[in-house]
Amino acid sequence: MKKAFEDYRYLAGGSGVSGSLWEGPDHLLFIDAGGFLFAYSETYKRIDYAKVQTINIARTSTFGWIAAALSILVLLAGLIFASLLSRSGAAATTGAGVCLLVVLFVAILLIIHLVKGPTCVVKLQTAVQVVRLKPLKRLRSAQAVIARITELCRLHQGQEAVTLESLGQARPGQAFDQRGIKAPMPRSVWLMIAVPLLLVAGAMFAGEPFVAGTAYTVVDLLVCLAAHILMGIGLARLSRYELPGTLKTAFWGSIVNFFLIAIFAYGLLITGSMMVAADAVRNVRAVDDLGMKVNTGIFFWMANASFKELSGFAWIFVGLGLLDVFFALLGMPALTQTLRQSKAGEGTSPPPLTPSSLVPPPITPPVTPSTDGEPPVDPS
Amino acid sequence: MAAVRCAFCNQPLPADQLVSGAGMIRCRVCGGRTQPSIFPALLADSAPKPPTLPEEPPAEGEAACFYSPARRATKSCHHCGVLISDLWAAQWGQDTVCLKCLDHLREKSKDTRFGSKRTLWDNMVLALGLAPIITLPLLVFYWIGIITAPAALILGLWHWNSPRSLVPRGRWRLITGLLLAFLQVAGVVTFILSLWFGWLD
Repeated sequence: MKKAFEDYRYLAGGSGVSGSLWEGPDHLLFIDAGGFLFAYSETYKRIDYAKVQTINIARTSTFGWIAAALSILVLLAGLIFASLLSRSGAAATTGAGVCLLVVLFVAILLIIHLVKGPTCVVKLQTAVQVVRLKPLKRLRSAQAVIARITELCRLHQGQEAVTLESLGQARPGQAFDQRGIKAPMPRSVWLMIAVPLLLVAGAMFAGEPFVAGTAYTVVDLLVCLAAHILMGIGLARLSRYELPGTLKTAFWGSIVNFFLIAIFAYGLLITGSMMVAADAVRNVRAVDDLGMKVNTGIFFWMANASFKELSGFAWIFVGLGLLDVFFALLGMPALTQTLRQSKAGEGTSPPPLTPSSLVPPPITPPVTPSTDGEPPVDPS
Repeated sequence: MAAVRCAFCNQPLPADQLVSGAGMIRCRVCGGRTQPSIFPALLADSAPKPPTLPEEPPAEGEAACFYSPARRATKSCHHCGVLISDLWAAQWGQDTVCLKCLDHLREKSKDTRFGSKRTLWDNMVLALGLAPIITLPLLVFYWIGIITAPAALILGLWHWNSPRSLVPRGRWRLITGLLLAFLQVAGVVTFILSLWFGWLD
């Protein structure tokens, strides 16, 4: 990564999907990258130092979660390595070697993660926007960069201190300017039903290869459909509100998982139809009856498919089902929090949004005809 | 009323805690603890409104705005040079530009001071070139190279001269992506030819 180009000096970030932050002569350049694994596009946000209102930093729990996940991985791989080491044979030796490589790789990742230190989220606020500075992810490096930006902002704005008087004699619970932000999510009955249903559907789907029977599959399909339909309705009704991050992840994750399940079921349908059709052609003589026999046959084959028929692919069933269970469990705490907040009453929640406070009045220069008889010019 | 927003939920933080000088502030909505640095700009105009721009017709001998002839020209665009009124002027760093030029410079121009967005074709070509290798552990996508390799070749050659990131960088990503794609295409062609001519026998 270059340390400077044109008038800009490097502050933080890299060429990956997190983007980078550059110090300009009179403004901060935030390169907001978008993509998966690689950055496929860059959006350039220039923020004048003179217009920065606040920079807000908060420590996040991501550090602990990543550390815990990597530690568990090291522990598991280490246990497998130890058990393979005690066995004899070429396969066990190869397996132990692979495990050792995994342990070393994950251990290095864990050490790097621990050395980098706690994670954080940094948001920069101006009068018209709140920008999350994605390149600032680690508390230690973020604090150094914030110190530099603060210095530049003070240089362009002066050293005036914020006092009680200047903030308008603020009192606890006083109404704030709500423009440009969404209200927190209220209690939603739709989601209260959808999320537990998703949990049940996921558990049932994971159990498909273990439980034979058409009734089980029918109930599973119905519960799964109901969960996703209710979730869709709930999401649509809450589009005006700010959803907690975990709930967003849970919903979008479960929708992606739903499509994965659909693709897997389609593959299974093709396999089933091939097997059942071949069987039906062999055993059924009446041509008129063949279609019905095949259709019902495919469904019964799918409903009763177990490890015997699906072999290793059955684990995909289990995995997709458990993924739904994970997403449901991920969304549960945020839902219970909204329930607690609604029980606590209005005292702790911000004032409701009014239409006038939601959207700032737009600047609309008048449409004027141009001087030489060309069509009217609309600046927007 | 100026608002300092929570870093987690974007809701306003309690002002009484802000002015008390407490380092860490607890959000009353989400319970998250944040540490804001507040600048005087917060107090300057917490509720920006559209500027009041009364129509000022140009007097005899005064210049009129190019876009709104009913208004008096007060500035000239640093980019195209036309005379413009305050309504049509935008301050961009040290420059004053008309709104049409601003739009053009942001959307089409390669000027680094104005560009608002770029597509990173070099990264895209590299990703397409690496796609079969990245998806190899998934097994089911072993065929993906048949699509991604020619796509990488076409995109890479088509966008050889397209601007890359705003931060200057070389063509190594593009070249690596093209090389990988070329090797894959060459491999597939060799395999087909070997089947055709029976070289494998």
